[in-house]
Amino acid sequence: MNMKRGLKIGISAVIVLSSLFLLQRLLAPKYVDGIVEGAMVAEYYQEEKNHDLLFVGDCEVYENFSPVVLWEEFGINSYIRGSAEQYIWQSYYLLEDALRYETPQAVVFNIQSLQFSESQREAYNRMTLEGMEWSPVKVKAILASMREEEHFLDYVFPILRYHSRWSELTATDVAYMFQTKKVSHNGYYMRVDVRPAEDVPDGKPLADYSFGENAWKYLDMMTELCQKKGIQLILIKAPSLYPYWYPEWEEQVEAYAAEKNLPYINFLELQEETGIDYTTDTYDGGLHMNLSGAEKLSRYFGRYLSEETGLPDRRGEADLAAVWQEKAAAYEAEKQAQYAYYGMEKES
Amino acid sequence: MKRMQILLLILALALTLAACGGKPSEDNAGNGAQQTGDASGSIPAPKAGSELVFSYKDCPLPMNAEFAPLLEYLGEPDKYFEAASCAFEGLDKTYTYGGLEIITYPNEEKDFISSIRLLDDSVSTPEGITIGSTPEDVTAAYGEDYEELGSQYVYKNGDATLTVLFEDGAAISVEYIALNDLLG
Repeated sequence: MNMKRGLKIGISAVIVLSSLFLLQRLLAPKYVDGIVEGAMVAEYYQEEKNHDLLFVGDCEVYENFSPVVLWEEFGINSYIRGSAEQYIWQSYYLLEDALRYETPQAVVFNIQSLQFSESQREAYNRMTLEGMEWSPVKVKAILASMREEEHFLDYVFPILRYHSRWSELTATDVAYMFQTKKVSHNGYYMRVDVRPAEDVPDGKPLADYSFGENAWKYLDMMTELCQKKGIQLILIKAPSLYPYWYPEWEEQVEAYAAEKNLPYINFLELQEETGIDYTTDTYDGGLHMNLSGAEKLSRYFGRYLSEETGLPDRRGEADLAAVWQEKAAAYEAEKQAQYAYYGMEKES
Repeated sequence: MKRMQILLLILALALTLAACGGKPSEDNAGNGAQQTGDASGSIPAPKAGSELVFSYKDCPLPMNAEFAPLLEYLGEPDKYFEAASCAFEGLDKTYTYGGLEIITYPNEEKDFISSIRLLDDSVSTPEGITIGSTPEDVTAAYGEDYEELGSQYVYKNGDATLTVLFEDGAAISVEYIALNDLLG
């Protein structure tokens, strides 16, 4: 009798837990159309992890550099672990997370996020953190990122946070309950359209131009982690015109790079060398590069990486070349689809 | 036992769908952004959630006010710039009128004022503060109830702050900023 009762309780528990699991899968945002950036962090885990170069950072990396160009023209096997408004502690933990699987020869970090010493918005936290695989690194990333009003349990059981999405569900939520759609090209988010940069506002005066203690702490941690693993850390400032990059910020980064003996490249100062034309190479008025801008930037940076950092040309590796051939085909297909969508002349 | 299973399932569903908090913050509706109609048919009269209200061309421009009717009254700006937030739909828009910069934030289909900044001394606040004003001018106009953060005075009231930043004893920035969950 007791055994029968126990069995029934067990079955009841399984039914309840299964229902909750299904509901959670249904209610969690899918990020497969519209705001796709929330799907990028998870995409990394589907990759063969033997990259020689990893990028970490916000939209200034995932919209401005093309791993396909780095491969096709320099044989550099790279991946961008980017996400929307990725804070520096998240960049650090995404790097630590990636190092559980692979040890690249070089890591590129875009220093725009030094301006933040604490998370600004829960939505950005979620778009970066929810896609991370569970590990002690993810736990640390969540604890470092949570705003006052956030709760750790909501990350463990996203249903607690998304239960009210039931009234906004669409067919997409059902279609992608158990599958995902690729939204990037090795972390690169492609846009081919053009909107020239005009009337970009100057920065407003600030009371204090110093980066916060917390931001410095994580930059130090990233530097130390790379040193410990024998990885060349390269600091960059992408050529995005807005948000404004203050000269006072530039001085601090230059001083840090000099002190730690790290290469630092500010692409805002290399317009002539990269060939970036802000009337044709941006899709949103100078905030991010379009495909043309990202490819120009990648060509310049690829040359630097090959010559100065000695990243290997791996185009001779048949297996890897085959993987990249597929990636390049998907890249080309999206390029042509976007040209058609935006009514632009297709490339020959 | 069947009843027990159903009860547990219903309880779980009820807890899930109805019990706790709100949506993630980007989905929350904007605060204090209600707009009254333009009763006179000429100068808009938006509802203010603060006593700190800038005024331009006789039109009050409260923080968090819906901007479309105000834009219609103010006319074409001298300069316009728009920026998408990382991965969010909608645009932060910057309108420049002479020495005045107005920035709006999107919420659903509408834009609301998130900040107003004085760029030069061709414009001043209704209390007479402008670029170049001294700390004494500012306290005479707004009183002593401010928070001092480095070299800036921050006055807070309702859903707005007024921040005056000084350098060498003169204001180099005068800015109204909306207080709103959507702005982080």
